[in-house]
Amino acid sequence: MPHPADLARRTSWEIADALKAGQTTAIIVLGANEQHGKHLPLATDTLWGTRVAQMVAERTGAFVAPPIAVGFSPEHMTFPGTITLRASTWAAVVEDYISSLEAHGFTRILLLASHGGNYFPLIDILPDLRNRHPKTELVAYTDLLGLIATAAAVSVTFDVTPDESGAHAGELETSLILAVEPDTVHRDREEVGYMGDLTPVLDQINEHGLHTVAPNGILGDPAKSSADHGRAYLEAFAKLFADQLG
Amino acid sequence: MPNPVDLTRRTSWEICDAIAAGQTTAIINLGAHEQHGPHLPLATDSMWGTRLAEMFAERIGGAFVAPTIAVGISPHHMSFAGTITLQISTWNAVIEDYVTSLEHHGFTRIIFVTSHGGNFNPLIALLPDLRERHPAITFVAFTDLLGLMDVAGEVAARYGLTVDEAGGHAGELETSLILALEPDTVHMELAEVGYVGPLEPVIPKLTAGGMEAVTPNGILGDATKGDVEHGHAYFARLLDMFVDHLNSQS
Repeated sequence: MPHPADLARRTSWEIADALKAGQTTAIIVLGANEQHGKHLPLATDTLWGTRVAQMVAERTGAFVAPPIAVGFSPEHMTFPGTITLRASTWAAVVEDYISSLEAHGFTRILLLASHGGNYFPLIDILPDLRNRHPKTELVAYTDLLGLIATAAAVSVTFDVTPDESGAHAGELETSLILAVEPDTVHRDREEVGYMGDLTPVLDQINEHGLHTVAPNGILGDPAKSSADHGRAYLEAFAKLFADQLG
Repeated sequence: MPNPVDLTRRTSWEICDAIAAGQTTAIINLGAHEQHGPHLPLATDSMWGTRLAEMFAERIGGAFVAPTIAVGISPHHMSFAGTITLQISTWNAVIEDYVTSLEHHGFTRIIFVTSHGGNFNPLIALLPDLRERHPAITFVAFTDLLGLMDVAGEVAARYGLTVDEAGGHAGELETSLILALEPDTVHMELAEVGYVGPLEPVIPKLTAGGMEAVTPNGILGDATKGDVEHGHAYFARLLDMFVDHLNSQS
């Protein structure tokens, strides 16, 4: 059965009734289609972002809009299969979603970024979006390092270090996809990636591409990944994003 | 298991190897997220369009299906709750960015599968620009909306139905497609008869006044006649139509 919060699988008539009954919060997943090492699917960010959004919806009564499945990923373009939007295109898509949802009576929209590369563009466009849509409460979590710290607080309970957990295709994301769609994970192809702090290499990744820091596309070490870890990360992320909605 | 032609569920390394081996066609479904009457889900067009794109890729080989562009050009449905529409300029930019990204990786042919009527004219308008900006890419696009309805009419006739009952939106055609694909999203007890008549004469009214000007319940066709067996027949026939069109281009 489709998830009841999944706007895409509901009828227009059901949405009309739900809006009248006060169900006026929508979540937009800002995902990506980009390399995630040799072992994870291109849609990794969109897959776990959509699942987290559904869990947030279960706690808050929101609807989950169709995920924006392609994001801002120029730093991954040396890896085949990655699709990126220009920042201007991506901003226009986000704005058109908001305009449409606002027209129907949605009053609060959570922008849920599940891809690190979307965080800076999101921070850039939020002031304009809020200016142009004063009647809509635009809620966004924009602290990428805070998101990673949230993951680290979980990974430590599994004896996984923050470096292993990793910011891209490491133990964190491998565990998330093992929990969400395990038959897309190739455990036999896992490799160790870049194992240091993210902060000092963020600029290099954004300016010169992720391959200059991690030729195999991985930040972290997927070896200790498990579906159980994934479910714990999903819970922690769902709480973090649901808390933004108050 | 994910479908092996689904790019989104493959790894970057797999795509790299496949491109090197000559798998250089990408199929992009141009879908929509809009009302489909009281009985069908908002994602109807993207659902059947994605499935058709997969069948197309399986049939012709050497092809991947890119992530579906799940929201399209749907201003004429905006009076119905839940519909999301892109501005034409936004939609054009998304397609351009997909093409640029795929071309960068070595894809040489891009096929558009349009599963939403409102996307046909914007695509026709965009194609010359795309071809000019990307001369190394072979673009294939089936852009004949009324031709698509003629083909649907052939299938409908096999079951004693008219093309007007099959309908251009949320009628017997689309209800049957979704019954064949994701039946638990179809509410047959809520299926209704909508506008049952020729599509061509009402297109201006539809464009100017929105769907509600032609059909208050959002349906063009007779949804009550939807049937899972018809849905499978429509998929097979529409696939043949896309393949025939592709062959006519090369």
